[in-house]
Amino acid sequence: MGKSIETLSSKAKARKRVGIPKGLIYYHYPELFRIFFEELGAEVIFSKESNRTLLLEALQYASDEECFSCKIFLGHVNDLKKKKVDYLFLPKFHGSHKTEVNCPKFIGMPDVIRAVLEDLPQQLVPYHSRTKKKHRSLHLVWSAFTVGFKITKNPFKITRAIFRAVKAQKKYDEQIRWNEEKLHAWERDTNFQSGLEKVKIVLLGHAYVLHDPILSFDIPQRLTKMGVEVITSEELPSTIVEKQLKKLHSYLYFKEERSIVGAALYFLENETVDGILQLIPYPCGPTAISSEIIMRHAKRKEKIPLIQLMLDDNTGEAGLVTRLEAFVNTMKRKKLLQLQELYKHKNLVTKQIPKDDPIELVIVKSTSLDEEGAMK
Amino acid sequence: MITYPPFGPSGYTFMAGLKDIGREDFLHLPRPTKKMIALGVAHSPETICTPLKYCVGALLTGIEMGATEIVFPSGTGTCRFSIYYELIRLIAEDIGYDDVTFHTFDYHLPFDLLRMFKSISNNKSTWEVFTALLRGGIRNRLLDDVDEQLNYYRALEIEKGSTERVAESFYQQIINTRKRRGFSKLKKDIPKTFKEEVEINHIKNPVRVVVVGEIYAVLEPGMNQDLNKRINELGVVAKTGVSLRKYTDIGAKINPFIKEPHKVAAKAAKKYLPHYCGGDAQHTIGDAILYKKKGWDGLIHLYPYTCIPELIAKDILPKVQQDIGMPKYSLVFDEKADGAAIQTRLEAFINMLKRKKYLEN
Repeated sequence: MGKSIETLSSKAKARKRVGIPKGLIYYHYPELFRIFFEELGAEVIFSKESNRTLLLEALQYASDEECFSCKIFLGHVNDLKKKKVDYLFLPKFHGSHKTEVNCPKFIGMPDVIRAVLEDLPQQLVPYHSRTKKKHRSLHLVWSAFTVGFKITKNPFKITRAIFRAVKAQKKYDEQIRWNEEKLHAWERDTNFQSGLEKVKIVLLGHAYVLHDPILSFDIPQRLTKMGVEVITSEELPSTIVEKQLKKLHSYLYFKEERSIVGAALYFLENETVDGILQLIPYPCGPTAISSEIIMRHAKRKEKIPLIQLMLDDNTGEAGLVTRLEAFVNTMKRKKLLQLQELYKHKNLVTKQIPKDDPIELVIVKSTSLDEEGAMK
Repeated sequence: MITYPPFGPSGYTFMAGLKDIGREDFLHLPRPTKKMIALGVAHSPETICTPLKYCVGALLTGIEMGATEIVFPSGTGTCRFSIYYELIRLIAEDIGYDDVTFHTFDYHLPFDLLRMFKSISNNKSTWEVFTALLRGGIRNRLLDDVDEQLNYYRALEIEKGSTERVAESFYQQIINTRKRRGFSKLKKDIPKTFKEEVEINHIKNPVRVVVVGEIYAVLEPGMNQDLNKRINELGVVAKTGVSLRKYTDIGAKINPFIKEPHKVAAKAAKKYLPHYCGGDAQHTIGDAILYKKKGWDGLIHLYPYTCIPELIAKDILPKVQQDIGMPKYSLVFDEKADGAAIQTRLEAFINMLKRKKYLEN
């Protein structure tokens, strides 16, 4: 009896613990990695949501010139090290397209981690690069198998895991990416029921910046709280992005910068949003390119305001929020002035605006300003 | 008038190449001055790597001096260098230089290089352009030879400046030579002439330092504030494994028996950085290991500010240093790089190496 209990407990212990840091590539394929390891029978352990303490710990290891997102990534790995996982999953994914690549940090980071942190658990580091090594899709399957054999010895289980993981990831992608119909419907939906125009913003940034509470300073949530409608660059359909990128004279080969620049150029052309907001983790390499391209194109079309917020580990929250609020309020004020013009024209009274409108608050503020004469 | 970015002594390759294809109306830009750099910084993005700022500054100065055509690489790659063209074009357009023509090519593809050179040549046949390209590779090899000798003899010379005079005359000879026989004669001449014409102190075992890092930071003296010269003036022999040959030497690429140095270095770096991550990161780490084996005393690592691949290498180098015991020093260069600040830090590092060597013997 005692023996069987022991073997049972040892079996339960034998379930391998795989740690996945929540940073960089994780946000590109969150479902793929989770489902794959769960189907293999491993226990998937994520690092905790990034917070201030995690960042402060990471700063002890990271070199000061490292980009902000990589500093956070080091923090996540450090967190997993403390959680005592059996395997650390750090894929090196250069890109499965002929020319489109990820940032070089995606390949170099696992090596840097190995050099910087000590006493790390065993790492699973599959490498895939079609651009440099001419790897085909079969190589992806092969690397999935090499990773899978570390956890289970059953090849059928691995095959099943691959299929289910890919299916789940496809579903996730469909949720994230809008199709063109949805985009156009969103663009056409301009007014509230009261007749006030909605304030719409396109938010540009990498997936690992927008989803991370520390890297993005919760800006997507803050914007929705302010009553702004937000579309992010990763939601834009890829067909539209590809069409827009033909405006550039050379081939933009950074995969995520393509959707960022494409989104910016699309809205600069169509003018269906009121403002463009770009988040830049300091000193991100690829974004230095995209931000300059967007800035130079936006200068030529002065109708749409653009703000580029640079974030790093010393950024104060208050200063950032002030800038954000100023940006949003200028757009709201523009709408308000348009509305006032309209009401003057029609001899209507402003009181007709219902109170539950999110912009209403600002109207009260700016009208009071108007009375004081500060507005003029 | 046609122009191209300044690139240290290796820039003579472009100059001679343009002469070969019949273009006499070229503008060879001088080494970047403070004024040029200020112009570049004013127009380029803030967190871009420093070589772009230098290139923008130099090329805009070139346009002001009357250049109407610019040769600049483009295409695809892993690090940011291949997208520079887009930014330079946008910057030039915004300033109002609309009549500037850009000749771009993908530097990974020799055929693209050939097509571009044919299009800018002065009615030359494809064969002539091809031989001009081959000659460019050979010239670059010779320029590297001259630099290697220069960095050795300048450290030990008795009469200051005598080595540089010899090197300068060789640069001119390399530019003007066109015949195959002339090149092979030069190849034999270079070590011989340096040995004959430069009087040196016969120090038994001088301190030797290898300079590695990002290609533009190592090869452009305007960017690294004459680092090689500064090292030599302290009586230390310098050498660099980094060379533009990686891109220009088509002969070595075709020939399967020549082992290219960057590939050898990448193989040596396998333990620390097994996969290519753009730029010269693998080359840097590989050289640290290879030169330790050859018995060199120290390593100086140069990189421009915010260079992505070199930052990876910089983070890994302390680990390499611990493991193999090679003293290393990482120097970052940006547009505010100042000679005096670098001199102080360099002296401290070199004195440490000298002391270590003295204690060992």
